[in-house]
Amino acid sequence: MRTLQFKLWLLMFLSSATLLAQKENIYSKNFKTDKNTTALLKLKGGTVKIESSPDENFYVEYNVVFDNYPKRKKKGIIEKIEIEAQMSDNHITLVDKSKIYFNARLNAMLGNLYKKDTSKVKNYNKKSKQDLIEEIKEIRTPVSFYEELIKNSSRYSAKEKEELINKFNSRKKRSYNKSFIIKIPTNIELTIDAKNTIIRLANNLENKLSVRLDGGKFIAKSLSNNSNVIKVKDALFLTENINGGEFALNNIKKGLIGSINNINLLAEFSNLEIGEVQQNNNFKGFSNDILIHNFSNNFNQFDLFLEYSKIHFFKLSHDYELNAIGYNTLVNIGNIIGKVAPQKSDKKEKFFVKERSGKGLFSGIMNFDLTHSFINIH
Amino acid sequence: MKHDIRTLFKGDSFPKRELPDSHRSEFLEKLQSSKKEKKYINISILYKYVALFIVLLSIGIIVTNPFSKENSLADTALEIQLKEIEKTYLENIDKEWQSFIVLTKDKKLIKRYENKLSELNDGYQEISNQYKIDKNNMIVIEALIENLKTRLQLLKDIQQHINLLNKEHENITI
Repeated sequence: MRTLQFKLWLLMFLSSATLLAQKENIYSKNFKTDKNTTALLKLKGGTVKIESSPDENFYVEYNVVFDNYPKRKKKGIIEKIEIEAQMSDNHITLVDKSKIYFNARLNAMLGNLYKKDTSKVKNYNKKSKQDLIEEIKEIRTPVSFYEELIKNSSRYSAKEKEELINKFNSRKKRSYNKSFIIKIPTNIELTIDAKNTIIRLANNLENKLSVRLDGGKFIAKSLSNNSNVIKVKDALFLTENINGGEFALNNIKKGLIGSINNINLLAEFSNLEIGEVQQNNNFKGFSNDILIHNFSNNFNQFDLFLEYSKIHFFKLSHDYELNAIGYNTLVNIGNIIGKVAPQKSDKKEKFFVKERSGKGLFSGIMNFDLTHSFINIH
Repeated sequence: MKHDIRTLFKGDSFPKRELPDSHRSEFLEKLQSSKKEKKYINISILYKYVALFIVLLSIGIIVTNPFSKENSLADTALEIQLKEIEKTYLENIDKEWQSFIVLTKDKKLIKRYENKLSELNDGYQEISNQYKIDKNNMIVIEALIENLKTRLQLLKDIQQHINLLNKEHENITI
């Protein structure tokens, strides 16, 4: 009898939960593609998740899950979402015309939030590549806007933050959650032109990507294509692994990258933290604060051109060679000034050399070209 | 002078007149028209009174409601406060800019910062337009302040960087 009662209760609970959380499909479309198909996504505001397609089709899915949301207000939310996708001459164009400027502003703000507490890399504790990837995973986990705002606010203590978040989470809320998912086949070329948008690239994407994002967040698991061109400005930049491509980062208040391999990176006014520098990377920058935790044991060649910047890295466990040219640059080794490049000359001179020892495994050569900068070896 | 009222109207003294055939219909017509007229006048007056009452009530609420008064005052105070913040930041940005261009002789560096600040200023104008539409939105207000903060911080950071370089060089020379 008790079992029957329990089953009835469970049934009632499940049916009521289904009633409370309702999923509405707003847009659904798919296109057949081949190896020559190209696609363009024009986005403003909102969040888009891009993942690998299980087949040769390009899928677009837009759903909204309403939780305790009043019926009369649902219509208003749905009416604001407007997606247009079409295909002509083997080219897919998707435009998000949704009237969600409020979200766009929120995303723009979220991209800038991180500068309040972590605008400058101050702690120079060595982390492993995996530590940094775990940190990326934690930050990229979606939380409510309120929670993110409180977590990053400098107004509250840690205890107050926890109390506020717990209080907020315990409240019965009317909410809706938009899910905009685009599944792309392996071979297509994808261009993204986005403003104040949260872009989440799931899986290990090997597609050729051209991305321009102004404001918001760029979150990727793994990007592997030598022809990638990624330009991100005024945003949060989190990527576990990058293999190949060109990257231009501007005003990135918090940039965490698990590892880089075979990339050309141009950064301005940014704070970047890199877990591991792997093979053949080229880095140019202006007015940055860069922290490199590790170099792989076969990094081969690392070329660095910096102006008005600070580069921090930790002593390598394997043998390596370092050649630094430039002017008006200081080398600090364990907080002691080791070498100084001439201050007033505009002519670049070789000012710091760390020759290979010839003992043990040789991991690679670092070529630095630095002006008005600091090299900090911890 | 007592009378029996049962005999009072038995005589011919009470005038006898035949009513016309149309009397009933004429009577009903008059009754109907008088009713219509009366109803129309009443509703019209009632509407006027209701309208007057609503107008007076609205004026009363607007004039006397303390919440409305507080809100309008708060909005004004917020606007004033924001203007003050903007003014202070812009003054400080200008001050930092002046000291920055004195501190460095690197024209390329000045140009790059000039471009960056101009880019941020364009962004500020964009957010300002949004603020004009939605003056009570704290997110927009915070975005405005954040933009100003970024400009100021950029100028402070680069000066600190240059000063630190100069200081270290001086220490080494000595």
